[in-house]
Amino acid sequence: METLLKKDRIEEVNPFLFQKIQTKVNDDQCVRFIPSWGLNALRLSIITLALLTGFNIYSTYNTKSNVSPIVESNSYKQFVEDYHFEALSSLYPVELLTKE
Amino acid sequence: MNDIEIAKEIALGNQIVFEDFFNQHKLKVMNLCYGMTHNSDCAEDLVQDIFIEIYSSAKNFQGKSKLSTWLYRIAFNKTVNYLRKEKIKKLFVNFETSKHNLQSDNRADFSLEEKEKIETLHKVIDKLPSKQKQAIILFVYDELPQKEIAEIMNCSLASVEVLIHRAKKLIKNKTDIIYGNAIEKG
Repeated sequence: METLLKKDRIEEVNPFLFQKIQTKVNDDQCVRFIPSWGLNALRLSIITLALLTGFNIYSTYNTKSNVSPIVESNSYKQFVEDYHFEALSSLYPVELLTKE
Repeated sequence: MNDIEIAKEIALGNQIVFEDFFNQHKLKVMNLCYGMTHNSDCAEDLVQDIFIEIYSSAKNFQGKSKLSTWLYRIAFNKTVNYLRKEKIKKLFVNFETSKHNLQSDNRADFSLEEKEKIETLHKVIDKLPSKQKQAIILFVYDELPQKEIAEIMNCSLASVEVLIHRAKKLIKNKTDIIYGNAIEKG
């Protein structure tokens, strides 16, 4: 078993591996030209923006307007009762009205 | 140059010291990753990540342990995290695709029979309890002395001996069930 596993060992490593690591390390250092506080500020502002957007969407669906719709008011209902026929007649086609 | 000085030089960006350190340990780290993943491409990617981590966190090395012990601990943690992520990926990705990702290498230097036996050994090693797996890989693939394995695993020399003994016994039992004594003879 051990002989087989020893044979399974890797005997050589990609000769360009260190170059690859160096490139990655240099890339990382380039990214670090943005200071860490700048990245934190960016993260924070994105989170705040997302929260505000979420709250805005939530509030549009969930708020009950303090001003009740005019249709529900008593004065409107009274007005409809009083001027029901006048209102209807104004919508009635003129040709039919003259015929009648 | 002692370990703290090496770490300091690496942290300061001394590429020569970093390259020396890399050349000194690359094969052992590669074998540790290969022993855990059984895939040389994954192992190579992991080695890159590990040495980048070493480069960026060398300033944190306090000299409480040997630099090589610290390196192996980082290597082991990175590899375990990678395997954990792969396990999670398997839950979401098509089974066949993920299986393909971590397939054992198709080694040209092995005969067909040896390849089959090695694949069985890989499967048996993967099923070992994690401590036993870690100990046996450090012992067989990295050929580290048991004392250093104990330092890396943060346990006593006696427990490392027990872990290795148990792992060998388990591997032997399981392979015997599958192949009879074929692996032992091979």
